[in-house]
Parts: sequence; structure tokens; C-alpha cells
Amino acid sequence: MATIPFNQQFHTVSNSVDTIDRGSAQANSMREVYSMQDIIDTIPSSGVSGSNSVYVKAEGTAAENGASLLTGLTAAIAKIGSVTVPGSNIAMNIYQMGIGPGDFEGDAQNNVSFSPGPQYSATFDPNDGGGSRSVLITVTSVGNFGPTTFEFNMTESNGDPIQDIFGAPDFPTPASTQLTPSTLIIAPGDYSIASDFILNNLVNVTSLTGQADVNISTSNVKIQSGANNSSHPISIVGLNLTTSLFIQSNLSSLTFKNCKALGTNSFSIEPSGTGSISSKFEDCTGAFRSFGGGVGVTAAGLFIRCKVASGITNGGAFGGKGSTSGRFEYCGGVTMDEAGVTRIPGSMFCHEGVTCGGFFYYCIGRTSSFASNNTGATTAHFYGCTGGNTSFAYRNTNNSGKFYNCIAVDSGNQAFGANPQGGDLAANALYYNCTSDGDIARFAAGISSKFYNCHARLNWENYSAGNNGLAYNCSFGSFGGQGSVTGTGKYRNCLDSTFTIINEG
Amino acid sequence: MIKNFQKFEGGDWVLLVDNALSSEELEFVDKENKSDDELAELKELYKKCETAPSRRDSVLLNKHYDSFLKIKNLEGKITKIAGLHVTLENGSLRGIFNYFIDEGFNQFKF
Repeated sequence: MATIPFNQQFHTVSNSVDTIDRGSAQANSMREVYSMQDIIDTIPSSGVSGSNSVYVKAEGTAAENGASLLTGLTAAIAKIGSVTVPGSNIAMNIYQMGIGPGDFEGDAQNNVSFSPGPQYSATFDPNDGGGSRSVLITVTSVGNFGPTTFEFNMTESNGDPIQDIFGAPDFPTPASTQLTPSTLIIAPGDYSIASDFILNNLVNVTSLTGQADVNISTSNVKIQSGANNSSHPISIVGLNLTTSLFIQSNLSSLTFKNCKALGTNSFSIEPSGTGSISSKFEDCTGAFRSFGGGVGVTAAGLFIRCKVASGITNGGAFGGKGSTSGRFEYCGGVTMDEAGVTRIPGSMFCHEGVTCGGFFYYCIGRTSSFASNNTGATTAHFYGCTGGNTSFAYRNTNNSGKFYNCIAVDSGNQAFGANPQGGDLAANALYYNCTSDGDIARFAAGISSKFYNCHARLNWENYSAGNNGLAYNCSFGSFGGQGSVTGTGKYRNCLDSTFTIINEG
Repeated sequence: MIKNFQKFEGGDWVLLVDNALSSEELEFVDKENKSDDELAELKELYKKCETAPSRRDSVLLNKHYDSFLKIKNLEGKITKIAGLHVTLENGSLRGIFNYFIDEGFNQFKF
């Protein structure tokens, strides 16, 4: 690459003038001819592009911008840093035997940077009495139990497995290739991509502003396993899709922030696939069956302030038709005060799901949310959540969830363990300080669940405590309707529809 | 080849099955306002999306979880598994373990 020295001058002439040989030999010897490309090469890159970043502008039509975006991704992949690091001896905390002969797990004192790879030879003393000697090592996995951990096979130089490693001798690491993620920075604008934007590499993708103003249309965005690296976690920030954003299973090192995707099954597994959505999501907005929704999918990651877009009545999101086991904070629809009745999605948070586990903190759904119609076990903890009719473990078969300070609004019909299926004999759910605008535990006769300080505005129709079930300090509503306790069930200090204190059992 | 496994409290490891349901079955899954009988039918249908892992995979998964407990010094401390989720791809494991210690919810990513 030719660069122009700073002390050179420029004179311009018409392009019809021959400038090659118009001086003495001495003058010509000091004359240089530069092209426009040389000028480009000489001037440092302006703006945000750099040695490991690429900046894509939205200067053309949406289609042209889309083409630039796909080209930019290719360029960013080419800028992923790669350095060969020679092997060294690293300090260890512990070795453990694995399942096969010569298989071990190691936990180093610091994060490790090597990768699984081919067998290599090293000098090592396993403290087995055989002394320091040449061994053959194959690293089979790295990071399975955290960034300091790795698994390997070790044999003598003749192939016999090393029987055991005593103490914590330094481990001789393999030479490795260390990658440094690059960054694709995208200006606000419209990008119509002719083919899917497939991220399968260590490339951070971010809008220039950090806001959801990179408007992508026409094709989908797909995030694949090559983008997942526990040593180099990457982020996807500020994408705004009218199409879908699909994520492969268990990309637990990724973070999505300020992204919006209105295609179905966004922030989830591509339909017909299965797996777990294990990434971290902050301030993202999805649509129908987003955030780990869909058959055979589990919402297992960390979801903070993630929502389903307004105007979608059946969200089916957050493990709908699938399962949940992750942590959900301030997720769901927009706030109850902000929108009309029909604008906050219902059927969310493991609606008609398989297994409803995890931790829900101040989440909002509407009708049939929060393990409603869940077909398997409900084991989750719900704190301060708000749902609508038929929410909170309605029609469950195996409800052992914990519900703290939750509220069923709208009419609050058939909320909090109403209509248990098959008697829900396994039910031992706990409800603390829960309130319903309508009823609680309707048609839940003889159940073992325990209710503390729970209040229904209207009734607990055909509810009764049995099998060590309990209602303590609860109000049964203006219509009451509860039955008498059965077996070992108990009512303590409860208030019936006539304001009479009830103690039974 | 990618294999996805998961395990919940009180259950065994299962291998998730891609494309397990026919288009007719998926239509039924999407049907709204299911009756009690249809809800029971849905529960049976979901079972088609899971199968038992091979013996070798089960050994690997259990060993992985046991090693996690040892390395993180969590043996006997986890009071409830919210969900263990593992993907096996090209001999490498990745995933997340969600669990409770008493009322505290914890996540371990790998």
C-alpha cells in the first residue's frame, strides 16, 4: 500500500496532460505519481471503522443498504482477530477423574484460553511416583463447568492411560489460536436484506446509537453456535426486524439488548426445531410465540424488561406451548395502565406448556397467563406478577408452584389454581398475599395447596382444603361459595361472605 | 450433529426430538379454547417431542452435572432444579443449569 508523505505538494492539471516526463532527470527523480486509491489508503479511516470493526451506513435504497449490511458482515468476519499462543504450564486448583481411562477434568486457577484440539506431547509429572515424563494429551472440551475448566485425556507416550493425577501439578497447555471478536456497527436506517443475515462467528453486532433503529426487513436474522463463546461473549444490540430473529439452542454466552423482532417465534428456536433459549435478553420486544415460545422449546435464559408488542392478544410467548426454567424480570406486555384491555397480550408464560419452572418477578400477562393450562409440572416461583382471567396455574395437573403477592385482574375469573385437572392430587402449591378481582381456586375441591393472606373479591366457589391443605387469614369474597374442609384440610382465621371468622379442621 | 437434552425437577434427562409433530398435530396444538379432554390429549402429544437419551449420553450428562456440583461445591445444597439444559454439538457441551437454593434462584451458564 503506497502512502503519501506529509511534505508532498499537489498540483492538478487537466487529465489530457501527460504528466509523466516533463522535467530534468533530477526533477523527475523527485516526482511521484499517486492514484486516488493511494490517497484513500493514506488518509486514516474516519468514523468508527477500525482494524477489527466495520461500519455500515444507510446511504442508499433499503435494498442497497441491505446488500451493504450483508457485505459488512462478511467484512467484519474477516476482521476477527486470530493469534497463535504457544503452550505453557498453568496453575491448577484440582483434577478429577473422568468416565473413561485416562479421562480427566481440570479446574485451573485462572480462565483458560486454549481450545479442544488434536493430541500433543508434553512433559508432565502426575505425582504418581513415575516422575516427570513425556505424555500425550488431548483436550476434549473447555469451559463446560465455567471458564477455568477443561476436560482432557492423558496417556503415557506408549498410549497407556495415565491412571490418576495426584495433587494439582501445573498443566501443560496446548498451543492454541486465540480469537478476538470484531464488531459490526450499523447506522440507523432501513435495510432490506435479500437473504438471511446469518451470524455464526464472533462478531458483535450493534446499531450505532444502541437503540432499535437498524430496521431490517425481507429476510430473517439467524444467530448460530459459532457466535457463542464463553471466553468472548458477544452482544447483539439495536436490531429492529419486521421479520424473525431465530436463535440456535443454548447460546448461553450471548446478550441481546434493545432488539425488536415482530416475526413469529423471534428470540426463539426456528419452528420445527427444538432446544433451549439460554441467552440474556434486555429490553427486547417480540411478538407471537417469542422468547422461547413454541413446541419443544424452553425459555431458560435471563429475560429482563422484555415484552410482546402491543396489539397482539395471544402472545404465546415466554415458553408458550413449551417450557420455562429461566429468570424473567419485568417481562410481559406494557404496563396495565398504559394500554386498553385488549392490548396487553395474554396466553403468555408457559401457557399450554409442558413444564413451568423458573423465577418470575413482576411480570405482566393477561388472560390465561402464568402456567395456565400447563400440562405438566408447575414448579416456578412467581413474585408480584399480574395476570388476567384463568391465570396462575389454571387447569393444572401438577401444581407445586409458589405465588407471592400476585394479582389476577380484569374479572379475575378462575385464577390461582382453579379447575385443577384430574384432582391435581400432586398439588402442593403455596400462595402468599395473592389477590383476585374475581375468584380463587374455583372448583379446587380437597386440594393440598396452602393459601396465606389471599383475598378474592367475589368467591372461592367449590374450593375446599383437604390433604393438609390450608387457607389462613384469607377472605372468601362477597359470594363465598367455599366448601367445608375435608380430611386434614384446615381453615384458620378466614372471613366468609357474611364477615364471619371461619376456623375449620 | 446437534442433540438437545433437558431435565426438570423430579424427572430424568430427555432428548428433544425435532419435527416431532405432523402439520395436523401442530394445528391441534394451536387450537384455542381446548376442552379438558383436549388438554389431556395435548399432554400426550407433547410426549412425542421427547425421547430417552442413549445410555452413553445419559452417562455423559449425569457426569457433567455431578462434576458441576463438585466443582461449584454445591453437593447437597440445591433444593430444586428449575431446569438443566444441554446441547451436544461436535463433542462439545454448552447450556445452562437453572436451580434454586432455598428461595434463591441461580443460573450457571457453560
